[in-house]
Parts: sequence; structure tokens; C-alpha cells
Amino acid sequence: MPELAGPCGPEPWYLEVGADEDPVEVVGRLARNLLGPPLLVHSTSWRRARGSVILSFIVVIGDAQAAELAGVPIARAQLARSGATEAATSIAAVQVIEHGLRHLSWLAQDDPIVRTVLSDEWKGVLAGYVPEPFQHL
Amino acid sequence: MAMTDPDARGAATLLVRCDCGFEVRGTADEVVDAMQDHAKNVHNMSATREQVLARAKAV
Repeated sequence: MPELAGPCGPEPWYLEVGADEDPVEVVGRLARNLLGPPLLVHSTSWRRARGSVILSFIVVIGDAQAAELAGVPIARAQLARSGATEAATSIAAVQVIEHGLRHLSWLAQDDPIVRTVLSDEWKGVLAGYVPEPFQHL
Repeated sequence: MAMTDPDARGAATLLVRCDCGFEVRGTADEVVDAMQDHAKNVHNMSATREQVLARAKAV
């Protein structure tokens, strides 16, 4: 069953991206170094926090990778809703994950590459998420 | 050097904890080396010796 895990355990994994660096390259490179080759690296949302712009990524790795890392089941959450023209004022990590997985569920249906790399188990989990690709977080 | 400066604690054991929960204990040199490696390898960040020691607590 897919779980949340990473170099910081189930806590969000924060990376710094330099002004001359490509965020996707940084996330992919560090994921590869610390977790092994990722199956999928996908940016799902952005928000303003910690005095910076935070880009959120979901990195999918294989079942046998990084088995030593502490993981937790993926919990559902209510989305942080934006106003019509303003960003949500408060966004929790679990809401970022909820949004990211809804985004991924849409990609699993719409994007042939994502559909190919995700396992049937992943697709089964994502089937329970309502696709919502354009929600601003 | 002020007595509150972690570098002035000699061989005292220091504890430094990263925001992500990673922590390391050792001498000033040891915790600086370990936290600089952790910052670079896990968070793609550069940390100076002063930044690491500013987080240090004697244990």
C-alpha cells in the first residue's frame, strides 16, 4: 500500500533551490541520491510560506526502495480553498498532499506517461481521489 | 571569545537538531561537519559553521 515517506520520515521534505537551479532537477537528483531512482517526479502546487515561494512535488518510488525509511499511511484531508482571486490564507501539509494526490489522480487518467509508470496499486489508491488539477494552493 | 559561543565550550558534547528532526551530537567540529553534510545532501543547502553552532546546545 502506498505510504508517505522520505528522508525526513513522514514529515515534509524541504529542499532549497538556488536562483540558477531547476527545481525539477534538484528534486530528482536528491531523490535519486537518497531514495534511489524515482518513478515519477511531479510538481503539483505552489504557495507562499517560510518567506519564500514553496513548490510542492510528489515523488513516487518503487515498493522495494528505501524500505528502511519510516512511512505512514496517506490520510485524507479537506482542501485549503482559495478565494475567487486570493490564495488560501492557511495551508497545512496534509492539505498540500491531498491536493497533490488529486492532481496525480487526474494525471493517472489523462497523462500516458504517468499512467504507464504508476502501478495498479497506486492507480487503485488514486481512484478514490477526485481529480482537481487546477486548484490553487 | 564569549562563553556563550559554542566554539568556546572546548570538547563539550553539543547537540544540533535540524528542522526535519535529524540530530547529531559531538564536538563542535563533529557537529559542524555532520550538519553541513546533512544540509547539503538532504536539503540542498549550504550552512556556515556559525549557522550550525548557533543551533547547538551543550548536553
